[in-house]
Amino acid sequence: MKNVSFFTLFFMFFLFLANLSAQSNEMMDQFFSNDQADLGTSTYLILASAGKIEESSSIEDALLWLEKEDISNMMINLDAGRDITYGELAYLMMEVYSIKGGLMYSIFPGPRYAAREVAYRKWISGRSMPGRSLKPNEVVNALMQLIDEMEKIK
Amino acid sequence: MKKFLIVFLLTSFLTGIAAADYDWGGIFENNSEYSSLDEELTQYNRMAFWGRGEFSPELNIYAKGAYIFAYDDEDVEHLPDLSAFYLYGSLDDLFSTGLGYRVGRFRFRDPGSLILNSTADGFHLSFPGKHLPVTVGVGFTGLVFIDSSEISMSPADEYENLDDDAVLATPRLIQYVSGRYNDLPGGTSLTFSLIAQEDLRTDDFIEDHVSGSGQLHTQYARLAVSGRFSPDLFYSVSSTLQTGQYVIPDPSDNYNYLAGMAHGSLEYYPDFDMNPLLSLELLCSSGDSWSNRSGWMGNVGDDTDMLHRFTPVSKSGKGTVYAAQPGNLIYADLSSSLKPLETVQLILSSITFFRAVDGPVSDTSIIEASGDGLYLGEELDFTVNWRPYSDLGLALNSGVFFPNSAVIADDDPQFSMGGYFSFSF
Repeated sequence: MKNVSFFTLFFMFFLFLANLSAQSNEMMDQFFSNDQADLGTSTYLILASAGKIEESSSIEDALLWLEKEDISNMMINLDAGRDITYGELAYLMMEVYSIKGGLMYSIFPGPRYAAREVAYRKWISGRSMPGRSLKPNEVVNALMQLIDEMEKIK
Repeated sequence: MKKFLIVFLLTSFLTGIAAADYDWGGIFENNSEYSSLDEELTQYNRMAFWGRGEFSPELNIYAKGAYIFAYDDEDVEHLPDLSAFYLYGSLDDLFSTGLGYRVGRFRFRDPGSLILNSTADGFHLSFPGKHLPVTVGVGFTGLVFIDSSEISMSPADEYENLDDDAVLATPRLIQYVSGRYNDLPGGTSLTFSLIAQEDLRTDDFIEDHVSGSGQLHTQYARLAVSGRFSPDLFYSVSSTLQTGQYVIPDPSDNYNYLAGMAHGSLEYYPDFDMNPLLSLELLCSSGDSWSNRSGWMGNVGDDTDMLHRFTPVSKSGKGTVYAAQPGNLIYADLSSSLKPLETVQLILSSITFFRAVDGPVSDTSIIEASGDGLYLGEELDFTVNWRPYSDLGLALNSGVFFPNSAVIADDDPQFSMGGYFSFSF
């Protein structure tokens, strides 16, 4: 059952990647060629997968969306090329997909308690340190887990 | 040169701090319970804080300390507890082997946690080989607070535990090595463990305080196999051989141990709504007859030269009400669990207790004159777990134990009820 679910999910994510424009494909190649996942591409992937921005949008569009929605307030800065942290990815996942967190997250929403929430839900593997940089495959795996959970809720 | 060295060290330290990743948090827990067996209401409150700092793959630190407020019908206790304080990391860059280490105070566990599961001070090394990852460790238990210790007590430890002035737990040196072979067909894995504990109590202490008692040294060899029969049916079986020495300084005598424990479990996850789980757990541990030992903490019999009661390094109990410890104990636990809601879990368990031989068990109300039956009784437990938020959890526990009147003098059904609350921040 788990395997079927994983392959279904992988197929869905593959379709998502396959539909990306040539410009986006170049962006993904660049993303996977780095040791650490960057903030810009990670934000783009989350927003595009949630349908918040068009797949043909740019990284700048994704970061502008964060600013417009006041999500960027809790981020260190919006430098697209810097590493995204565990806490920031968790926070983006929670806010972009409107996920209800724990009591502490509802009182103090931000990367710290978002990190606790995604660690509890086992969406991001590895150590749950809010300031830890992530590898590109960790970001993609987390996104697949998130999409899987959202599909179950539908 | 000296100035240069100081500046260098300070810069390195501050650079390390600046590059470090920190996290901290806390957890408040309350456990309240009434047990008809002890005829008392107990309450346990624990406020714990933890902190973690990650400086580099090679050097990180974790600490966890708590204040415990415990209450029963007669006593109120205020207890400090430092349950973890250790450095950890991976020395992969130095040795290219993926060697992991942990040094300081932490919980030492064997792979099944049925022999060793206690806080101690020492070190742990892990060699993550591709086919056979191995872990080794050495720990000392004598710096842990006595009220936080989970070490199985000898009669000498029991004596010291009654002393209100005693602060630190029994001094034992624990050593273990464990390996896991995963390359077997069908996802089966084979685990082996060698564990030993050395009692570091001095002859003088025992001679001065507990005549007829001794030092307890034990060794364990454990072999376990786990895997699955089908995608939804998992199993594990293990067998443990225990040897040991019970060295009595006054009057001078020396007894050997030869004991054993077998354990098995089956877990079935049927593919239905509400995430059901059915599990069966069996444990069988050897014991001493009354002629070998006069009681659970009693003296060794005159005609005895070999002891057979399985004595794990750490204490553990089965069941909510009876909470019998391994050692002359057999039990079968049939349990089922359902999640009718995403945040609610219901668990119903039926535990049947036997003793292995007509002899002492951890229930000290059973004496030699009690009867020679092996069946001890049946316990039914029911638990409701509710976790409305990821950081807030509540549980209601209840259980009833039906003793075998042929063995246990007070044959009235015994019950316990309690609640648990936890909040993390």
